[in-house]
Amino acid sequence: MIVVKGLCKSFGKQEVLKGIDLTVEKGEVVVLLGPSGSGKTTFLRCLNFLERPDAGEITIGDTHVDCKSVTKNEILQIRRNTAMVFQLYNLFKNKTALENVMEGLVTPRKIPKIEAEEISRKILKKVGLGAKHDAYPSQLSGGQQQRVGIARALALNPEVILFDEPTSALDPELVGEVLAVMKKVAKEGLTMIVVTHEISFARDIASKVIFIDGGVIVEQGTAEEVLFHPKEERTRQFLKRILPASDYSI
Amino acid sequence: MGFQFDISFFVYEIGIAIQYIPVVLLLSIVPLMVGLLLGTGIAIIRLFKVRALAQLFTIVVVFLRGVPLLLQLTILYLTVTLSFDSLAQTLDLNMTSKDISYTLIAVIGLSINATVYLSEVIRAALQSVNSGQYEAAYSIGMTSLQMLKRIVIPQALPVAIPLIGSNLIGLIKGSAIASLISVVEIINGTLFEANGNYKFLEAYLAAAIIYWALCILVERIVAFLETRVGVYGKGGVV
Repeated sequence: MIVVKGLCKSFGKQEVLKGIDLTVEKGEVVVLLGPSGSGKTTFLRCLNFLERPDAGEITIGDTHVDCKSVTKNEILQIRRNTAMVFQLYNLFKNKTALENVMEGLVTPRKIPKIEAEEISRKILKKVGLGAKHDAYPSQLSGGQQQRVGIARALALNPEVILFDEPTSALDPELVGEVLAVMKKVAKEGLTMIVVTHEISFARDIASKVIFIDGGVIVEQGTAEEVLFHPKEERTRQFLKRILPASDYSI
Repeated sequence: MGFQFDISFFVYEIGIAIQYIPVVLLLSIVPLMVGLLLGTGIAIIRLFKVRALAQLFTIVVVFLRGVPLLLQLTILYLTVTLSFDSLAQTLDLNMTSKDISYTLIAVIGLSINATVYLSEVIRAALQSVNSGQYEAAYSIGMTSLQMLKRIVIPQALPVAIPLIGSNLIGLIKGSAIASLISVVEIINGTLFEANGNYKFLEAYLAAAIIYWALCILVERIVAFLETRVGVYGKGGVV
């Protein structure tokens, strides 16, 4: 379970997050929507301290931290309870697909190599890349790289996987393969927080949709509620811009 | 008197110059090693913006880079030799400034110079690694040290190696300045032989040939190392 209370973050004078409260139950798939600059990616990055929040409390699994007095060790703990899938994949360029997946097991968690390799091979197979173990990232397509990225996150068996616009950098024809893997993962009961513009993914998979604008949560609820019966005017305006007209009637 | 070139003396001087290659290597390889070690430390401190130390090293680097190597070496030499006698006296040492090895002073001076330049080379190489690589390493729970060792340094190395090679060549040629503080290396060694017959052109040319050969050798080694690191990059630049 993840509990966030009063999360604030500023870059200089620019206040990006103005007190975000959020509870995510185990196994939930939460989709964060919002216009660019609304703070959704910053919020995601605050959850594993890639950005240092200015204030607020974060509980992930059995680790609870107060962002004002967080220690290096607590940050490491939080990071070892989470995993992240990046917009630009960020696979380790000097490592093969298999080594990329193994790395998080072998180095930070000190799992024996043989065991780590076995786990990693299984997971690569699950994301449909059983034949690409020895390929370096530069030899893989964007879709394949992102699937390795998801495999790298899955291998850690984290409390939650944070997805930061995982399909935004992909060619349209490669988006499908990545979304398919994400759906598969969601159905296995993993907790996921996803920043995306893929409304179809939100509609089909999300157990909760959250609309963020101007650094605050404007509206949250089920996909049905937020996407198709939004209460707030700002949500409606946003959806009007990104939803194709035909999608209004299900 | 026409222009005369004594080939046999020139060949003889090449032989002399070869004998002093170990001195040149001592004056360049040791500073390179020291420079790599300390330079990496300084680069990492500046990269992670360690409080106080980062600012301190920034100032030191800017200051030392702005002074010619020739002045660095001579100032160090004069400071050490002029202060040594009184220092030895207060410490009750039975030594005078005549007992200090000039080679040691040169090695120290060149090491300081190498540290300054290599810290910049290594900082540039570390910064050439995309910030996404750092973030991915943190996101899977690595410590900064693990990240440097497993992810960042292996990726920075292919960038750093040609630059380190250039610096080694610079050090080999820079070691010639040690001749000004009485270190007997290739230049002083060959000039000494020419003192009797004034055949300085032969002496200088012989010295030049050896420097040239050493630098070619370094270039070849670097080119070979370049083919050995960064195999993963073959698929493209990104």
